[in-house]
Amino acid sequence: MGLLDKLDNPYNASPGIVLGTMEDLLNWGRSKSDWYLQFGLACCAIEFMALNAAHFDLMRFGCIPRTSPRQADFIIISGTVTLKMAERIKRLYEQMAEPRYVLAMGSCANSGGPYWEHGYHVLKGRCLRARMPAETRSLFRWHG
Amino acid sequence: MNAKEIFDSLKAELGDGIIELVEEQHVEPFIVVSADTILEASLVLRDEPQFLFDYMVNLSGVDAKDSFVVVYHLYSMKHKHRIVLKVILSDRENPTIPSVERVWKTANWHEREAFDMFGIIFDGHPNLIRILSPYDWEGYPLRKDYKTPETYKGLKVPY
Ligand code: SF4
Repeated sequence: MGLLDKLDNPYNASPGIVLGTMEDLLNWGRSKSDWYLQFGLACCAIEFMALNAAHFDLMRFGCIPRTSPRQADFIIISGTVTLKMAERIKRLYEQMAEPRYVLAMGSCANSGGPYWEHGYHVLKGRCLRARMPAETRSLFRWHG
Repeated sequence: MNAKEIFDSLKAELGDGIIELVEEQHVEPFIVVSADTILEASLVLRDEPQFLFDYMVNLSGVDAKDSFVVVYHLYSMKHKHRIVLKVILSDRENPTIPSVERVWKTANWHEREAFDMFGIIFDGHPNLIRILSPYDWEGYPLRKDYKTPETYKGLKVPY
């Protein structure tokens, strides 16, 4: 199966797969206290804001939104990436210090979502992945 | 005032430039105005005490296949009445219409949007540039005959 093949070389293959438990992932996150760029795009950005608000309270993990890409460890592509915005995102990404991570949130950032077929102005997710250098193609999938 | 009264008094004032009143069920009644008269009609509708349409709710473009249509939704805060104006531009190659930006400032961005999406030229607009698409975008995306470009600055567009 295609997925199992990718297990052999999880860090090298284009979006590789690492098996683990949810606890491992959370512990890894807690140990790092990643700071993320305060940056939202479309309706996913509303969910993203809720992440930081009282109900989900991401700050309890030590994750703090940074307003400058130079202080951010990762960038959350929270929403529809229009072609006009794609250039700006790339620019923000390039300003971040290494190691840097990218998290694509929602179906728009992953594949184009509802704009898959008729979105003349939307960058489809596969393309977004190709724009980011190989070592940071650790794209997680959230809802959608 | 209802649509019929507005149409009658506008017609009495401006004559042939006010073409017809269309009152269909389920659709807001609208007045068809010629492109040459729209600026004058806008000033009358905004300023005369019986109309006082001080609020432009919306301005939008429509591609009607053989022509372009510009639609104006107006409302009066004072009299609490509303009206819809339509201007039909039959020249598809060069759709041009006077700008009403100096009548209602709201029209500034709305006209830029209609220009961006349909390529309608608003004569006299102070800053008629694209508002949503990138400035170097080619074509007018909401036209019926628009073809999605293959690439934009090296990014693949359709999948
Ligand atoms: S996936 Fe796209 S459409 Fe859905 S909430 Fe996110 S940005 Fe909005």
